[in-house]
Amino acid sequence: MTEQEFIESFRRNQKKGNWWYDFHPVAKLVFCLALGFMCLIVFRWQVGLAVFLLAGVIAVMTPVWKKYFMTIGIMFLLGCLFTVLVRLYVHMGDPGPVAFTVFGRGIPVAAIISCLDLVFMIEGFLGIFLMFFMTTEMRDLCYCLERIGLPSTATFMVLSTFSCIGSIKEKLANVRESQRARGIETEGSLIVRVKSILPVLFPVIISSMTGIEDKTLAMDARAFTAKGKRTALRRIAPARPAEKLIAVLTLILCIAGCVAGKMFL
Amino acid sequence: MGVCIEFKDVSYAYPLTKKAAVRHLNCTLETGKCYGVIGPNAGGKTTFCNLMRGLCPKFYGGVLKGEVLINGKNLEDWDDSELSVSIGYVFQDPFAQISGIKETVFEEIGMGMENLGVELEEMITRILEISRVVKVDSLLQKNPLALSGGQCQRVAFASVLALNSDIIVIDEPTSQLDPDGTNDVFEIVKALKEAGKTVIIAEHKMDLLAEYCDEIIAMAEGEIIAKGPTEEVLVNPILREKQVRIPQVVSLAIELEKMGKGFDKVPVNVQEAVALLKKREGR
Repeated sequence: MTEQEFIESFRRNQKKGNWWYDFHPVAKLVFCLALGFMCLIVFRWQVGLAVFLLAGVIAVMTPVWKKYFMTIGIMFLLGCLFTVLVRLYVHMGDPGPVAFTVFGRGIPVAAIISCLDLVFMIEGFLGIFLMFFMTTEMRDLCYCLERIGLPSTATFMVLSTFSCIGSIKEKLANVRESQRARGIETEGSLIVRVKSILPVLFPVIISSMTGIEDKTLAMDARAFTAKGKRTALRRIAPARPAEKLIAVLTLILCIAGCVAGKMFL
Repeated sequence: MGVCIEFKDVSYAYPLTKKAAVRHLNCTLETGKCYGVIGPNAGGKTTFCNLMRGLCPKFYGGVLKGEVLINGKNLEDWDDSELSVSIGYVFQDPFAQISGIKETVFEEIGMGMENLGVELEEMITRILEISRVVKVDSLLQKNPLALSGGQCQRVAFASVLALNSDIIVIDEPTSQLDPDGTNDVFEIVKALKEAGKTVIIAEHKMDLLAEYCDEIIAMAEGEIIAKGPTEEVLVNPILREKQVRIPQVVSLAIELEKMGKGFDKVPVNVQEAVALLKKREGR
């Protein structure tokens, strides 16, 4: 991007050119929260699967679909494997209709359904939120939340926390580079890598926290405590009526879905 | 020139300490001048800067005695947010001054103005102007977290300058910078001086202070031991008595004087020394 194009980009509302990316962040958050919490509250595989599939359909329509399916695929495999093994082991030999037997012990149908409920509750919840976080910039969400009255201190805390995660990762990588330079094994199997990270993890987190005082002073030097109206260089267009409608309808449908799910599923 | 900052018998002790970090400070700082604050480590330079900026005692706590007047108003009567705009503060650590929540240098510089509610077009104009002054115009699209120490310090300067404060307090800005970065910082100080700002800079780089500052405030053991025009303070014997570092050119001139080969006056910077040497050689 040339300097002129870069500066011009601040003179208009931020756009990515994809309908889901450009969906108003707060409306998107309401949409995802409603669906995610419906999975949690109803806790039935039918609801979880529907939300999981919906997240997949949305993903296909965005440029991040490959990354999304790779991540959710890994989560699904790991989540499923762990949940199924634990659940089946716990319910092995329980009374009721048996679906199949393992090592001579019956696995009841109820245990299989219970597994499916848990797996799809997790995957539906994770899927929709993964989609949200992969397609929404936190700074845009915070900007919109500030516009509707959230204190700037709160949005700063959210943004700082997210940036802190990045800086911890960066510091960790630096420390591991230094360790490698001193001949300490940092690459190889998962155990070797975990062994190299664990001893430095705590000091790295603590060292990130020690910068809080400096950061507070730096923010003070930027008139962070100034009272009155704030402006923003990077702006997002207000939510369109259609976006508001989708968010509200989703919320209503999810509340109805929760009630219906609890009653009939 | 009017007085912008006045210390009236100021003593300050940090919390949980018995000994005051600074004692009986009495001085006045005039608008539009550049002041260098010098002295050994733990001499009270940073506390002196923090007092001007109101961080002591408002942020750090502790006990303040005496009066600090900023533009004639007692420090305690200043609203924190007003003071943060009236007095810009650049800290030692260049990396700690980056907000961490902005993804480009352009937005980082504009952050203070966003907090003050400056309109978009004015923000863009000011950012572009300031970025040229502090030579960060080629970095505007970069992530602030990916900058070098020198670049970070320049961005920190730009962010503070964007607030258009009349007084700028700079605490050891070059302590983590290489020689090029150090020269850049002093070039910015020069630009600030030319823009009529009051600059207070605590530093150890004596040669550069001697070149750029109008007045020097020498501190040792929490007290002001000398204050006045640069050429007078830097040759004051009390500095050597209290082991305050002085410019190499001054040390050399004093040694020459002891050997009976002194100049008409003691030069405080290289340019003056060169001029005096040329005069002596009759060129």
